[in-house]
Amino acid sequence: MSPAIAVHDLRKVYEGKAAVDGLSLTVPRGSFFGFLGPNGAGKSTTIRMLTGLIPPTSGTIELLGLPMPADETAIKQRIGLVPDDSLLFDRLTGLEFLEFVGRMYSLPRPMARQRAAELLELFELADQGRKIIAEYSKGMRKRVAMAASLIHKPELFLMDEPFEGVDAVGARLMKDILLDQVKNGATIFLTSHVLEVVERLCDHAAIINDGRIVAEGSMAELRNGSETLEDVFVRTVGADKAYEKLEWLG
Amino acid sequence: MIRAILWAQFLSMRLRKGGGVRGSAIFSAITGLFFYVMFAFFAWVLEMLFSRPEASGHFVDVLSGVLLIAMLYWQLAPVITASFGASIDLRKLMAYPIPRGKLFQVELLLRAMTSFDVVIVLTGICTGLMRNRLYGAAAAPYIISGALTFVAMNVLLSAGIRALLERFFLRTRFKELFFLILVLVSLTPQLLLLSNVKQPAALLRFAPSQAFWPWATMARLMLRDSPGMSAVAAGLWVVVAFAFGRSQFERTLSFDGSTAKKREKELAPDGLVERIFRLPSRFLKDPLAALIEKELRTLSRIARFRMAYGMSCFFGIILFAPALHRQRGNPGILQYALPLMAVYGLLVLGQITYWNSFGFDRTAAQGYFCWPIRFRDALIAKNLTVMALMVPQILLVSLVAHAFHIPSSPGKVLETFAVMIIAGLFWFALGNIFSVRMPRAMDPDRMNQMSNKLQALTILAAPVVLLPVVLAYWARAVFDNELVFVGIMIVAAILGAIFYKVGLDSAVESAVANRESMLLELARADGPVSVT
Repeated sequence: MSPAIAVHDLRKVYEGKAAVDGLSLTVPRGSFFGFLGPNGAGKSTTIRMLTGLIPPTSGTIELLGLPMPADETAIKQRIGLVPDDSLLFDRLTGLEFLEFVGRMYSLPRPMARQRAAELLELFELADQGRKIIAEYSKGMRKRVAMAASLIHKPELFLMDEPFEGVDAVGARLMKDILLDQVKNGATIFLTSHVLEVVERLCDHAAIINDGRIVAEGSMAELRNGSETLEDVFVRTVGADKAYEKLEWLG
Repeated sequence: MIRAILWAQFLSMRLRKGGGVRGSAIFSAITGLFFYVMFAFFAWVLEMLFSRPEASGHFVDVLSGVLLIAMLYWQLAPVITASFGASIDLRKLMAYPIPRGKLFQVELLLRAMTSFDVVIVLTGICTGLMRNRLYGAAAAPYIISGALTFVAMNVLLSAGIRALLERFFLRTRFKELFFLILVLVSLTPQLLLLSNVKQPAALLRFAPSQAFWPWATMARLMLRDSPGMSAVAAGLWVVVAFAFGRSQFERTLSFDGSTAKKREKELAPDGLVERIFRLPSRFLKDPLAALIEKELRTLSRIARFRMAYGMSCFFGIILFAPALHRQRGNPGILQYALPLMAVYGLLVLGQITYWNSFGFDRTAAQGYFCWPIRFRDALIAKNLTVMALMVPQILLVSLVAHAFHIPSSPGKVLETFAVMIIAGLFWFALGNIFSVRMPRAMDPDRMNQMSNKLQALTILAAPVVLLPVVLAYWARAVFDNELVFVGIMIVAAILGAIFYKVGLDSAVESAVANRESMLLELARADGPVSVT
């Protein structure tokens, strides 16, 4: 079976500077894949190229065995997205938005409506379903975004910082739902700054720095014995105590 | 500190790379230049007028009238177009230890900068008066001080009005109330004109040239008419404007928008409105139906849209009623009234719909590229939504027109629909290209976005874009033959369809090729100063 994600020599260049520089990556189907890196390393650019939001400068992308952008529509039909920027229409209610997204994925209206209501229940937002999204807190917005990514039962999830701004209870709920999806055969590719989350959830991970993959493998391979993921991250990315140079801050 | 704020604003306004953004800047420069040339022309006409000694007998009346119009333009145009130009964003700056007085100074500076066109006109008037041998250089101190007090009063007043409206717009109920008041105030002179007021002399006591009005006081100061008294009165008006502007600004600083904003009530699942929202599904398939439904729901929940929609229904009547009233005995002119008012309504809606289709979607516009739909469908759905909104608008305009004795028979209503569809095809074609090449994020809760200059330019350019429709009416008038009219309208519709198709293809191609810069622009946040 073809991998869920196969990326080869992917590059994205802005004004002569590579944001993603020759990235090659394979994500096996049914895996929970963590994509880590410091700010500005190229995580969001990579995920935006995978979702088709930005075209790569060069390189190839295959999702679920289909080439991007040649089979773009067929791929989009089978993936679920939680982008970093809000993909929510603020003036719709949570229920209306989920139904709308379901219909974008060709679900018949009654089915979209039913799934929307069930997802709101699942994400503990049923009592907020008839309020417009503009009134939701950041955590509630993330939950709605994740619910929307599930409505058409995708095979592959692409998630950019899905737990950002979510409280502990909400995060726990979302993690449980994602783990269930993986158990049922879905593949999850997520970026996160919270290394503990990645360490606990993911079975595979890659670390990107300056647009290049600097470490990749199963979680056990990456940790290499007694190291924590944080140790691996700091070692591979390199942490510089720049603040020590600022005497006035001491 | 003021320099630091303005510098931060300059940095946040720097152009990003990308053809679309550069194109937007070039277009803004062209429209800006067009407007300044237009105002320079007005200034030149007034300079000629005020330099003629033989006309000086009417100067008090004329200058009072001109200053009244300038003041109305300065104060009311931003209100009507819901666009105040650049303004200070207190939400961002309040976090820093900046004295309130400094913030007020920045706000005044921005208010002055956004009305440069009026200053051009005033310069023309001042130059004309100084060239006039009855006034000359000796009168320069009076002329300049009169003009400066006029500018100062308007800057202070507009700062106050802006602050007042900003708070109004954060109180959901006030938005509609404000609009209602605005419509009633705007309608008053028209209604007075249309009703046969028995003794108009009574109204003369409130004529614009009466000395107690601020503009008349300043005109008299410029013309050395009772200069001492005029200077004192003008000074008092500036003090009043300062007190109003500063107090309103202070109240906005202490205003907690989040608590003042009415909590949206839970939306009923099966009311009449909900059934209206679901109407598109009866005629169209998904994703078009779903997209139109989403547009209708979204727009109906944006107060700024509701205001513009109300204006599109009523302001045509307000604008054209006096002229049409004068043509009561001329049915040839009146036959254009209904289509004219409906097309005007379509223009009014343009600024917050088809000229910037993705403005209210902001970052969510990425969905049109992520979901398995064609981007083309998103644009078509947005255009169809505006067209659907035109149906009740035309019916409402017809009813209002009927009340004003303007011909609005069923045949005339049908003709208006035909004109609207043809006009829509041309405008939507251009609007789609603008929407993807020059997108701008719009905050539904704020009113200082998009340029009223763009809207005014579209109104000025309307006859050119509507040439085929104008030609049809011209042919009907010349040949007095309905068949000729219908024939040319059919040709216009075919041309419109071709124009729309070409425009749509171009917009889709541009959006797909430049989606990155388009989404970046829609995600763009303002700097310390929010700019149109």
